[in-house]
Amino acid sequence: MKCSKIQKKLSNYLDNALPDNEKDVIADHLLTCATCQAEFSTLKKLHNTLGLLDDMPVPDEFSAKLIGKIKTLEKNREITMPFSVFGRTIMAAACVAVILLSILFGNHIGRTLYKETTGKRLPHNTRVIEIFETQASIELANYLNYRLNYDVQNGGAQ
Amino acid sequence: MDNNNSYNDNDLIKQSAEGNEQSFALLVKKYEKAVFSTIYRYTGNKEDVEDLAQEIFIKVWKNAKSFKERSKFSTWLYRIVVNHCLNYKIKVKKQRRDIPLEDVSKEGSTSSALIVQNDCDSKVKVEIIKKAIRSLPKRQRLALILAQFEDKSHQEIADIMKVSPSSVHSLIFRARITLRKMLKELL
Repeated sequence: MKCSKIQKKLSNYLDNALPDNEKDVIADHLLTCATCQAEFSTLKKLHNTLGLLDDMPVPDEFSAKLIGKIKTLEKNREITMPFSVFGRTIMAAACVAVILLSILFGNHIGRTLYKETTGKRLPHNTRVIEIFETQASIELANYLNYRLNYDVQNGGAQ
Repeated sequence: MDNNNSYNDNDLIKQSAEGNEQSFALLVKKYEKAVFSTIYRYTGNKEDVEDLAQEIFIKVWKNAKSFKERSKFSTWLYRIVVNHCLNYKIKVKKQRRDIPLEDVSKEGSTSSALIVQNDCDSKVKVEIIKKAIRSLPKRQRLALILAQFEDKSHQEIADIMKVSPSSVHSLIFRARITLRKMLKELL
């Protein structure tokens, strides 16, 4: 392998990031090539110089402060969302149950009112909207009858 | 990191996802040093490190449910650290106590490299090294820090930074070339 290619791989060689066969080739080359040896030596010096960089110690109270902050965040979250996941699931199920019961009871109440108003029973497969439409039609017919009788009694439509 | 530690990390993060603050505290204790170290070496600014570290761990807590064990926990954590660093902007009011380079230059010397006396003390050297690292482009800086200071392999760095191993090679190679020029007098 040419020196230019070897030197491009020295950074990876330093980091032990080469396959074994390439590592062996470079190791052999470094034994005999002064230029590449110097290049590698400079790379190692750079690595050691960077190692002089200081580190920052973690303050003793860091994790306690962090957990305290998390507790506060969780408390604030509970104020805006007062129930746990389980509680919210129960609430959602309860809402669905209320809606279904409303439809069922509404249907029953509608049929009962219709029967009491008209004296008739609605067919079993009548839809809820039809109950209201039917009831509205009855009311309208009653009103028209009333107006007709009124007009007849009072000598023509106004 | 051995499999036993990985297993424990996965347990701890799962428990944290269920709201177990004690498990989370154990995770924090285990990784706080690495997080502090990476942030400090990236920013070079001690004042910002604790706030940034806190933000990162809070992010981990809030997103614990989204950890799906597709990677090691440490890889996932470092990804959050890397993304946070990449988004880091130096505050406008800096409280830097940088030592001006003129104070350590040799009189009359001219060079494009950072000029220092060979016998300048270690504090000055550290400042010069910090400055040189900070001058690197963000991705080169991060790749070098993870390789040089966090002992991550190129494959691990590739997983963390979501790039190919050859990109990692290239980032570190170019970072070292730049640093060699800037720190020529220290070598």
